[in-house]
Amino acid sequence: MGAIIRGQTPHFDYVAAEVSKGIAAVGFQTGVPVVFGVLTTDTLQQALERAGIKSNLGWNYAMSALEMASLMKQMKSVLAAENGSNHLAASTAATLPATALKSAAPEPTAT
Amino acid sequence: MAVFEGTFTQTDSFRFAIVIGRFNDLVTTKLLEGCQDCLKRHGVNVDPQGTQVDYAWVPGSFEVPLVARQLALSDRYDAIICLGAIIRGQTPHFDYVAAEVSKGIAAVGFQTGVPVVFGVLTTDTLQQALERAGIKSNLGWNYAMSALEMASHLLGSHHSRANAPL
Repeated sequence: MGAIIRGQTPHFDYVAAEVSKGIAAVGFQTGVPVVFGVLTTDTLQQALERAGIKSNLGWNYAMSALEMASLMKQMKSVLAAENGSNHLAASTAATLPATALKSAAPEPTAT
Repeated sequence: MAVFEGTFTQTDSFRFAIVIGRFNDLVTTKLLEGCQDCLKRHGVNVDPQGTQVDYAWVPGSFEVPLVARQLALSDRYDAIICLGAIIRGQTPHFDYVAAEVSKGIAAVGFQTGVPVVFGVLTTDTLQQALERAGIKSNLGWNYAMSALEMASHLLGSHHSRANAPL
């Protein structure tokens, strides 16, 4: 979570660009869902309206985290199960060079 | 020398994954409908219980690349279609989300070698989004066409990669 509010200088643009890039990269590279809960607004008013006046996006970010956590768990178990057994998966797996793709983008190592 | 190009026939062995962002689902469900319509009319069984298409719903477009990457790495799909809608609001948030999502989706395809279709609308207004999701045209259809074409492409499909002369 964070709040980046535009000031008088172009500082906002650089900070917001790097932060969004960085947060997107963390999730992408590690495979752990990372929720982008950083407000990027032009005014303090806009920021406050999204953080408890009118609505509070903090709630939505938590909802995203819950949804993503359960989705990843579900996907992992389904993909793992199907890779072992399933009809089409099993028949194609036999003809595929299984390692060819993996080497281009290795799975994140669990720690 | 050779000419490489995809086709839209012989789709019964293809497997697709469709990742859909729920945010702006008024728009994204219509994109999905257009997408399914196109796949179905090209002979693909779009039933989620079937063997050809898997669906992954995520909270919003920002989460799409991560899930698409996970699916691509599973080595089970001939193409992955990413659907989402990013509509400009009152803050500059749009620019940051749109930039990261497009970069992320491009990276998935590039890094994994699985064709990944960029089916995320990035519009200034809701009107523009709707005009691309069922009013006037439905780009969901076009995204499915891209997926079919890329899946059948000699260099794109891992079914044919195993058998390809290259």
